[in-house]
Amino acid sequence: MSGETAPGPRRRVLSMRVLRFVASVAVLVLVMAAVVAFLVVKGPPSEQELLERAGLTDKLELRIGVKDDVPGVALRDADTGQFSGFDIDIAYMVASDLGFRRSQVHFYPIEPEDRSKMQARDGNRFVTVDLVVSTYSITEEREKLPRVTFSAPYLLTEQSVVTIEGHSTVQSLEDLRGEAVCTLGTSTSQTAVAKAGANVFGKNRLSECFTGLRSGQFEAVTTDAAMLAGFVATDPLQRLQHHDIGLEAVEAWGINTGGNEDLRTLVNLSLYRSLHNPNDPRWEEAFDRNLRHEQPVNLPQEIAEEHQPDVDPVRVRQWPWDRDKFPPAEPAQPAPSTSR
Amino acid sequence: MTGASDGAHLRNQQWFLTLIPAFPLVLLVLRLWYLSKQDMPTMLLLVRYVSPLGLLSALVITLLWVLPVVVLVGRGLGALLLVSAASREDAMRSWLVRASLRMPDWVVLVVVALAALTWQLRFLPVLVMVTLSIFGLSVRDRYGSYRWQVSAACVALPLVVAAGVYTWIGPAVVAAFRQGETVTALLLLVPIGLAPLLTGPVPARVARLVTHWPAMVAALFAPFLIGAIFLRAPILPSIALEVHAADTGDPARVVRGHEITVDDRMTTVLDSAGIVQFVLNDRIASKTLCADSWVVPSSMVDVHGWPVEQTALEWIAPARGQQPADPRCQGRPDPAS
Repeated sequence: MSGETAPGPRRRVLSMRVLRFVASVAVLVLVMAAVVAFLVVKGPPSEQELLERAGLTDKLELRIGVKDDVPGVALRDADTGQFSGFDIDIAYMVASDLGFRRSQVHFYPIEPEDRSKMQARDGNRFVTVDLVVSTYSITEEREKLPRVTFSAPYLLTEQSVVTIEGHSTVQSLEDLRGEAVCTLGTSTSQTAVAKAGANVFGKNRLSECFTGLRSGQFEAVTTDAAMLAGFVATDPLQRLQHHDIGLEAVEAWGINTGGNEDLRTLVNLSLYRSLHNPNDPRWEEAFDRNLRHEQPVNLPQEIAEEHQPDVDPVRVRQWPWDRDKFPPAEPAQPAPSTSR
Repeated sequence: MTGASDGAHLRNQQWFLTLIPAFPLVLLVLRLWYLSKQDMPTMLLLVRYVSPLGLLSALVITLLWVLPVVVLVGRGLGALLLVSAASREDAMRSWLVRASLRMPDWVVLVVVALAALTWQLRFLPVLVMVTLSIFGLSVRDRYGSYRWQVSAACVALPLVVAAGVYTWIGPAVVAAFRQGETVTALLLLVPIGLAPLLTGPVPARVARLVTHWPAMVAALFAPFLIGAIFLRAPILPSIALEVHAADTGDPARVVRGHEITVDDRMTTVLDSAGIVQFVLNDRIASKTLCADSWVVPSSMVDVHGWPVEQTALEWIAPARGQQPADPRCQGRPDPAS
């Protein structure tokens, strides 16, 4: 209610009032947008919501499909029935972060071809497992399968070859042309060695390959170095030779959650926290306990990278005190392809 | 205004005053109905056992921030309409202005203090803006002829406060944009910047458009908004009971849900499916409290360590740190218990 009369000041007052009107409208719009946004948009889910959506609440046990014959990775003790190895430790780590105690985790031996179907052997029957932690390399072809949902990688290794000592040095897969080479059926190694012209024999269990190698049925065994390393390190006669075949391709092992996207998010969250929490040495301890000591007897082949692979940030709602322990996730960037 | 229209206004106000105490009652009943998943026997059981004091406490704690919203919005918009209208008589035709003029300054001061304690940090810039606006408009209305006082209250003070607030929240605004939380960033950034523009009149022709009518719309929708917020508020503790099997005595199952009551024979629990379970106390092996997940904050932004979704009260008060996940809260018996 100003009393200006001159045309100049009056126009200035009017334009100021119009500006204030615009500002008032802007504030009203912002407040309305905020109310709608905070009511409608809940943001990322909390861990509890993810656990419920993943179907893990009220679940009495976590079933995990693993290998049972690979020393250092996943081996079942014939006497006690206990599983041990790097995959087992990683499985326990993830299970613990999912809220399962060790006594609530049950391991089931799973064949390579069943990893994509989440079907594992339990005595005389097959059961559907919740997770597959079984040296399962992430590839584009496998990701297209309906029941394959890979987590972020938890170990990086590469394909290599093991022979009996005395075999000529193998520097590439072509050096195995015409030789009897054993590998795991449906493994990523099978295709490469077949292309090189070797006589490929696919087995469901890697231990069968080494039995055949020692008996002379096969001249070489090829698959991921981290798996072969355990057989070399535990060979009672110490006459196995690990060869570096100079492949650039990296085998990135991932955990299959069988199409359960929420479970994958939770597994990735576990791997992300393991990677970024300086007070969480579980991955490093698993590597030291199971793989590091195998390296010297497997030279010149590097059996696996000794650092946990990168994990993309996972956005979940969390308490401020949790954020202090784990760095807040940046907005999701386009994920680099994990297929190697 | 004629005597007849005054009488009509009075009668309208009486109806309104009658409805005000009924609103919390309706909210409380609706909350129980919602909790019972629309099942009448369950709702009657809840009515029988749920403490009215507990319900009222939940209502007050959950909606404590609403009182400042009502008072400050009413006072701010009323003051803006008062200084913007063509004449004081014209302004007084609006109930908003009349209500605004009836609010004593000390009430506004107390309410600002209450809001400072009970509003989330991300809304505090809005509070500062509204407070500056009310102060500037009041000075302009009462001391309009004192040019220096008006300039100090309506221009200088908002600019100084804006500079101070921006210095404090600047890093949080950048962090909010980086996190993709645009609404939070704008809430922190825009209100303070616009505060110097909200301390004076708007064109008289559109004054009611930005004051009276938004207040009417807010008054219309506020009950629904308040209801939606209160319906999600927890009024019963979330618990998990580890229950022995009848025959073996081993822990066999976990019952999760909201505890309705405990007597000397059994514990009554409303599970997550809305089904009432009566568990014999003799069979209960262990019991634990579980956290409600919906209260986990969604924003990752903080201002110098103060998360934007926390109120000053929450930030000052001691909070429970991270607890190890209890398998019973996920429906699994605890082997360690």
